[in-house]
Amino acid sequence: MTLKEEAKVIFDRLLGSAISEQVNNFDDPEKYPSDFLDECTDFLGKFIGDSAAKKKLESLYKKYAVG
Amino acid sequence: MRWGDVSMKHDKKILWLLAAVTIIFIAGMIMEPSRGEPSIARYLIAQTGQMLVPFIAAYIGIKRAKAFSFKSAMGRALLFLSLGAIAWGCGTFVWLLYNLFWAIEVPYPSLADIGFSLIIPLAAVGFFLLLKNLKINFDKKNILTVSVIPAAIFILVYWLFIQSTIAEGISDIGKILNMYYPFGDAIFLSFSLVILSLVRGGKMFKPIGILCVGFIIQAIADLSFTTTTALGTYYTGNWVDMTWTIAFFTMGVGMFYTSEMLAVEDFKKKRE
Repeated sequence: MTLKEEAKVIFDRLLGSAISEQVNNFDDPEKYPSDFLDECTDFLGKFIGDSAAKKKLESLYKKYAVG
Repeated sequence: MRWGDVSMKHDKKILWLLAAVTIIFIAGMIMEPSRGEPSIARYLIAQTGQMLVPFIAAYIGIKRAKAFSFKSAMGRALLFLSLGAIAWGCGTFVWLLYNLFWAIEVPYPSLADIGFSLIIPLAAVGFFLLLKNLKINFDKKNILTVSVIPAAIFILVYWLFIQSTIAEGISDIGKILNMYYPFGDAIFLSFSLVILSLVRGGKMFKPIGILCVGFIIQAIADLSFTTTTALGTYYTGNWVDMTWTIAFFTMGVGMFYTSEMLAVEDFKKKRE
């Protein structure tokens, strides 16, 4: 799975497809994985708070070697 | 405009309906004059309110669950809680049948408990799934946090309803249910409180916070019911029934406000 797909799965499993679709509007994860993940964290933080969002996406940061 | 914007206007009506039904039936319970004497009017007012309020709350919850999608943890939490509210409403209907057709004032324990008791596993499963999705690891500290409230309630209800003198004369099934309701409430209340502590600063905080208040009121009502039935002071339509009605109203309001999480357009506009 690509970074975008993995991020969408996280949103999808927690909040559903209506919200996970918003990931399509973020920066290109192929070119800017760090920016993409920052946007995901920011977006997820709106729902579950910044601290929980960072923890939730921590594995993706590690996997894609950014941040 | 997305789902949230379109149906929020229509949805406000259902919130007003929930509030109106709650107020009307609580006022009915307060003003009904029989005060514990057999009264068909009292049975109908108390039990109809306790059926309608959970059903309307469940309608709101299922609608929200569908908007999130039933596959998501948030959607499932709302769906399971709504199913629990429906089960409660069905239990209330059975209770009413006992009141009306068998002239039993307090049918406890009875078949009605099948409906009442289902809200506990359903709400617990729903909120456990949400908690599990939010929390990647369950370390010892988290398990301890989740266990504190149920353990404290277990000790309290064991002391109250098994050890103390008020437990005398209560059937074995009655004792089990007296333990089950408050202890079960404590479990899903505990899950939801941990979720609340995790989502501070997020849009999820407000609806989960309101739901937690509803669960606390529900736990108070269950504990009050088991105590007053053991003491022989409970009657259908008294203040305990009002407390349950308020609990389901609060849960309905909590589920209603999950709509704020679906207004994702706001976030995009801010970013741009």
